[in-house]
Amino acid sequence: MSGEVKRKSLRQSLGPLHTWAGLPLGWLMFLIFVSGALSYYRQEITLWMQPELHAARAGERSLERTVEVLREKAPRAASWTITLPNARAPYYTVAWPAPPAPQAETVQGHAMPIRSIVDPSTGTVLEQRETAGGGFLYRLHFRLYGMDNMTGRAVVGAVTLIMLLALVSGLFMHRNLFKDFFMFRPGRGKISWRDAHNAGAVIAFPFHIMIIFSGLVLLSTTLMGPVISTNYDNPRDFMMESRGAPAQPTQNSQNANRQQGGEGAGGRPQERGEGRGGSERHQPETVSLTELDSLLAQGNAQWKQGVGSITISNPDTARAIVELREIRSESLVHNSVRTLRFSGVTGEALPLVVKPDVSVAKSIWVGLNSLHRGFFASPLARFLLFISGCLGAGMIASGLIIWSVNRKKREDAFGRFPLGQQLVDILNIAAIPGLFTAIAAYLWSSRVIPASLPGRSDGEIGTFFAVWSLCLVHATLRGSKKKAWAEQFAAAGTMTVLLPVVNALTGGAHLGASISGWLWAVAGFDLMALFFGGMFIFGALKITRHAHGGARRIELGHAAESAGGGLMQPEHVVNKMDARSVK
Amino acid sequence: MSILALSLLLAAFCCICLGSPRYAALLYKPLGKQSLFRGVGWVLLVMSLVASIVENGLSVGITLWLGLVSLAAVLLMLALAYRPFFRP
Repeated sequence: MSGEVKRKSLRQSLGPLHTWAGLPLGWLMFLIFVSGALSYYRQEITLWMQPELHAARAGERSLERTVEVLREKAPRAASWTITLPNARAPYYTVAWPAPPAPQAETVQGHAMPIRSIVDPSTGTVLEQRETAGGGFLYRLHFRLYGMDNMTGRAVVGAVTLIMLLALVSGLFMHRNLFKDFFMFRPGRGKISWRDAHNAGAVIAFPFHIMIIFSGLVLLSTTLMGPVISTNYDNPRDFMMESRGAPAQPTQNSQNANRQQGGEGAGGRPQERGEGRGGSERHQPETVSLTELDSLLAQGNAQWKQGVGSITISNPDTARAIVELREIRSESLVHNSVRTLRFSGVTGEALPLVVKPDVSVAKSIWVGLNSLHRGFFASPLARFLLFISGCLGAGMIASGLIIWSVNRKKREDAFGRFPLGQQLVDILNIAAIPGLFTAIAAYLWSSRVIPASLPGRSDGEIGTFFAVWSLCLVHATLRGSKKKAWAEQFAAAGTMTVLLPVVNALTGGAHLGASISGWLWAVAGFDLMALFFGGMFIFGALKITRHAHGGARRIELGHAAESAGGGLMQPEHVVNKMDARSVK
Repeated sequence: MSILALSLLLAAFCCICLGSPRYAALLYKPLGKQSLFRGVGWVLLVMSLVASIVENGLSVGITLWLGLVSLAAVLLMLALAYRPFFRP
């Protein structure tokens, strides 16, 4: 008895916490979830935004031709990395470390490697346009935009922490977690929004808790800066030590390079700091490279997933080493994907570098990192992560809408909107359909802005924010908020549905070509655009119909509402059944 | 492609639904076999987890299974919600 009372009061006291944790930052949470879900497909988004690459087709042109390209473009590079064509990127990507330049563009202090794309069917280099691509949405996800890296990460981290609070408080507030597991009653106003909010939270709960917690852990270096600064004089030292094992292919190859030079030097982090910078070598003697295809066959025979990339360090010298990397890890907790090493001259297998055992803390870090960013993900797992992300976005959006819907009565009583509610309505519109409109405009801009225009990626980003601001202005100025909702959803829907048409008209592989050419990375994008665009238009129509229905309902009085009831069985039938089963 | 695990999950959720008073009323005349449905449902649920682990290894198998749970639950939820549309 007393337990019952206690639980009720806990639920009651959690209500305001849940509301006020969720509402003020809900718009930012929605942005983070939507851009995060899209980031699982950022490679596909970038590919779509670079129609020049759609010409790539699976072909019989062997690896040797790709190596020739590297030999022409970077004969003296310290290492070459070749990423093999796969389902997500149907072409060879070749990369080599950039020559050291003090003022070169760097991302977090690493010199970005130079990349080229080679068409597997013709063996020619494809010149792609400059684009901000999926990378813009990816960075928006964890560091926002227009502020420095640390501030952006700190803001996202704070929002994540509050999201965790909202999620857990929401879980404890839920009345019938298991009983209502499959419950969704569409077309019933407030009840439907509540059902959608609960379903989005409960059904993908493992994902939400995983993504929020691992997100916090990924941002821990930013959020817990003081912990690092009390133990390390320079935060970079901590980053070096915590990375320990090689993290990126280019560093990896340099590392291997170094080890080869000084026998038994080991892969300790201190060594790697010096290893950077030596991206050009100075021995001109040329020793021909071993047959790569046979090495590749060995790798493919050994690994179920197949070989993902090949790194050749000191290519065309007597010290050449070929390293094959598995396409993705088969486990979450092991440090990284498996590798095989061969001599680049004779092709004989070399013993693997023994990596030190990873600590428990480190393997938890690696596991969470891998989960959050989908390193382990097969196409199916990636799709599931994306769907779960969409459910999370739906949960946040419906939560925001519930706040507004719950306060609709006040509008009737006073005959005007209270200021706070007006603000929430406006921000809801700008943040939900407005964001979709801005993303659609961003994708359009990648095709509309001339391909050779310098600084065009800034233009794309500018388009995104310009359209988003317009949506905010529109939501503010439009008198009828319902019409603003419908209009922005209609705009987002129309633009998204037309993306495949834009793709076909501006030099991309149209749906017929991409499907018949098995170019699923592009076809999948177009099909998704059709689906989501259709959903947005459906949403716009629903809102318009609801707006008209609402007007009629006021004329007829509230009797109409109950008569117009749900699509599903009326509640009382269900209640009757509950009562019967209790008997 | 984890089709086995997904099919088992859908079957499991259908059974669990049939075993719950709320949905049993919508789908069939309750015959007093609800606990049986529930039991079979949970067994199928465990079987799908095992199927996923066998196919994908322990860590990835569990992760993938949790994702499949979400997918199967959404599919069933939408099927239940929009069922009147599909009824002849």
